[in-house]
Amino acid sequence: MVNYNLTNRLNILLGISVILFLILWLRLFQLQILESSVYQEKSEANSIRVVEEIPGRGLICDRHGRVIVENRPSYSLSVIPLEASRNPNTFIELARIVNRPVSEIEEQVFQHGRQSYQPVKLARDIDFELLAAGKARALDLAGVSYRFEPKRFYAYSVAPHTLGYIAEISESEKKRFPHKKAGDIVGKSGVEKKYEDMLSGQKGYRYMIVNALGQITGELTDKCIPAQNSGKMYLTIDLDLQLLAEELLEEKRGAIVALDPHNGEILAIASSPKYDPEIFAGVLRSDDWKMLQDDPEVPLLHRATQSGYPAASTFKMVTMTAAIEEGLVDENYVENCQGSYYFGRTYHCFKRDGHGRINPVDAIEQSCDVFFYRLGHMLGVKKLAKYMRIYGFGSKTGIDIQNEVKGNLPDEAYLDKRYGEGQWSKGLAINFAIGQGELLVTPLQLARYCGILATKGKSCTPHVFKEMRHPDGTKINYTSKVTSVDIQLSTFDILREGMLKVIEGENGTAWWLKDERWHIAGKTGTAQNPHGEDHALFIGFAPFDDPVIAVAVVVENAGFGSTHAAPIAVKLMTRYLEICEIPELTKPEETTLKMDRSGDELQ
Amino acid sequence: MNFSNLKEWDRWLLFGTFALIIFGLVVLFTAISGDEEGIPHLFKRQLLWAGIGLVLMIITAAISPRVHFAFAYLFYGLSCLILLGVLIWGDPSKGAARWIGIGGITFQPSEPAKIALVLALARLVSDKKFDPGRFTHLLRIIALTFLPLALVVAQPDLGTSIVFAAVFIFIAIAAGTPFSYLLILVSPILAAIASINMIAMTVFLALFILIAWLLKIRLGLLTLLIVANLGISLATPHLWNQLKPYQKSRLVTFIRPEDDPKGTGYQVIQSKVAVGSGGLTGKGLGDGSQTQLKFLPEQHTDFIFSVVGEELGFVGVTAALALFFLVVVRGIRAAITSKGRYSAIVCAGITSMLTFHIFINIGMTVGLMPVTGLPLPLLSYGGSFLWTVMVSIGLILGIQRRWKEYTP
Repeated sequence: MVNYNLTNRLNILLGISVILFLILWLRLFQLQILESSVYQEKSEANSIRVVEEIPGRGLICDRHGRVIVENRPSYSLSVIPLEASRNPNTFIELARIVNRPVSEIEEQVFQHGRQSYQPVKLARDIDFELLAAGKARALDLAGVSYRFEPKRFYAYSVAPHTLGYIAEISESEKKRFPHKKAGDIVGKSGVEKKYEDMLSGQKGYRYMIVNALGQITGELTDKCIPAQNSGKMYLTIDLDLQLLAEELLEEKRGAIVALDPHNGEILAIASSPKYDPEIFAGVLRSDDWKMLQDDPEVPLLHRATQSGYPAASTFKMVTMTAAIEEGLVDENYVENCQGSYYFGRTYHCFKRDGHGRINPVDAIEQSCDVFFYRLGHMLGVKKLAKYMRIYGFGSKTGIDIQNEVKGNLPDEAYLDKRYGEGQWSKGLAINFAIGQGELLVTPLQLARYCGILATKGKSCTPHVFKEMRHPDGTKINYTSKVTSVDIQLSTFDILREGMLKVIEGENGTAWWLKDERWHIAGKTGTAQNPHGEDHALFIGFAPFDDPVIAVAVVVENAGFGSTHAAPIAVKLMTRYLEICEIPELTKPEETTLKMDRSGDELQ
Repeated sequence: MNFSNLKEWDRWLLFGTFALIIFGLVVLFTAISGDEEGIPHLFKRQLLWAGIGLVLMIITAAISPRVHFAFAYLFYGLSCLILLGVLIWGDPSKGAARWIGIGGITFQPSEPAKIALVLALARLVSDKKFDPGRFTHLLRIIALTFLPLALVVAQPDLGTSIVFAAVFIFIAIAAGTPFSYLLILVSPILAAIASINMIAMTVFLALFILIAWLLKIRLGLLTLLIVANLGISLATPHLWNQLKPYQKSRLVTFIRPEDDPKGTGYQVIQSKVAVGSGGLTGKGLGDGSQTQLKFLPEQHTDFIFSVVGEELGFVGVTAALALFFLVVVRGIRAAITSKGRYSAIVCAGITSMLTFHIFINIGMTVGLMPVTGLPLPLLSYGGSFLWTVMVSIGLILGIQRRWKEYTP
């Protein structure tokens, strides 16, 4: 028989109890005193859901306030992974509603882990039936929320290249917009991208109290930060002119740029073929995107700013400027055009039997190649390049539309690089003088160049943004950047007289476009194209004495500039002069005038 | 029997019991106040059960230890029969056949079986012929425990079976079982746990041999034990596969709750968040976001203590622990002051059983113990266990107030 002391054993039991209680108490001390702040944070993360309020995106309208791009309500469907993972029915229901396989949905929702409280956007721009179906099954859809999202609505299907589109932010864009996060919508191109900060408005935040089922049970109203809607953005574009420009380019490939030569405001900027901006308004379907990308006509290319063309004869004012400014010729200089010019080989004038004796003004009017061959020969590449630069070729215009190209300026450095140092013929300048060869210009550069001619030396940075009007009444204006080019006024007088005679002179290359109401000046161009039909070009401004509009038109593979580009430009200019109610020259019987004009049209 | 002489009742124990019941009702009220329909219903039921429990406690206290000493084996036999009946006729619809229905209310027979086991074991080890130093006598206690334990394991009810095992160990300690025997008894359980990996296994064996040497266990026996423990360790992975999926997940989750945040681990994580976020003074009654927004699972039953932690903070849990400790201290004191061995061991067994529940339940809410589904005495919602606890306390009260008498 073992003897033992019962009381001792009972005290041992008491001792064990004391130890167990002490363990619990110390653990509670650890959790509630030492680590309390950690758990307080977790507790808040559990029950307080920060709900973002998406501000209304800014409206985009034309220079007169006509709304071009507005918003339409749209809803996206998001899922909070942790909450959805608690209810397996959620995915089955979601699969039914979104019409996608369960596994695919699970993979997308759990892409950042199952424990995440960060909502994952599953579908954008869901239709109203879907929304209704989802709300009806709310009980089975744990952690599913619907978020208002701006969706663009295009009142007019115009200028898609310039306006750009909006879509979900990409990884790389997050650096540019540090206050935005995954799932947010940002401008992806054009004005939408350039002026994202102005158009997006200020996000608001609401602090909702949610229960374990993800149901909202209340709100911390004192912490709420309301969203600030963006306002109305005025572009410099004139909607009527833009619509006309796009209509005139229909079924053609090419671009039109019309601007106010005094301040660089773009009045119309069109690129054809275009695409329907609605494609990008909601969720871009991958086959739509593929179709746009694979289209041989390249509709996504903004030809006005991203395509380089030979300037052809529209370039001749540059050559003339150089020759006069360098003192090689004056207004009385006379060249005898026999239809060709010889230097190493024969350079033909487009008029094979020659223009005969011809002065600078007439040389522009009739676009005499031989005249300019000689000038180019005399000037050489270096001096020609200098004046190309003065007129802004070979560098970006600085327009507020992204990804513009600078074209190509064939100066000595370029030619050295291309042909080897000194390995190129001096005869290249002869070709450059009539706008052929390696020189490539964008329609936008052409329009600005035309503006410089129109204003006798004002060089403006072109822009499409005019004014931002915020809801609180504040305004942001574009400050025009205008500089003067270093060319004498007398030189401009010669150039401009020549350009006026292109339309109004007896022998002008576009004589048949003469308008009785206003003096219009311009210059035709026909760019030889080894790959097919010539490109038709035209630059022009009006009215002659105090121009309000300068235009550049390029129509690819169309043929002569005088017949395929000039009529477009003249129609645009006269429409704009009508819009601006520019006083007409004389008041002949209007009916006969209109009949004459229609009879003149060759198309 | 002398009801009127209140001086003879342990007023500290009564105070602790009443305070905890009221505490529990208050916390229960706030825990379920989020449910629109639930407040009157659940609260009224618990109030009713507490009332009935009070009556049961007083009646039990009135019964002389001689009576339950006499009927101890009968209670035990009846309990085992009912447990067997539950197994045979029980409704396994909930995945576990634990409940029997008596006239519209359901009852969990494994709860009173805890008392029956304590009484039967106490009677066995308090017998004059019982020699704790003889291994064969120890085997009798084991046999007596094993029958009900096997019956609840078959239900299957892991939590209650652990309580039975704990009651057995505590009573074995009180009965004077030599520590070397206790080591032999406990070592297989530790061997099973240590089988998780090789390092744990090595540490366990080293410690086992060291303690065995200190306790001067004979070499032959020691060798046998080591072989047996190794065998258990090797068999554990096989037995593991025999467990129900939910039992496996509970054990796995206990070790790594973050692995399964949506299942059992979710309960532990949310409970720790609730308790931890309570801080020193708590968020205030009815203002605990974890509780009121239902992040806390089973907050009126198994996780009621998390509500205390969140809404009343460290101050509140310290108060609750102090009240529990008061009950435990008075229980052991009743054991020490009683004149009979049977009475002393009944008090010690019941107190230990309560302590074990408290430790396992609170340990679970703070992430120290696995989620076993053991309720918290006097605080958790539920009738069967509340009555069991109150009858248990009634037994202690009954023994304590007769401390001058010569009871068995």
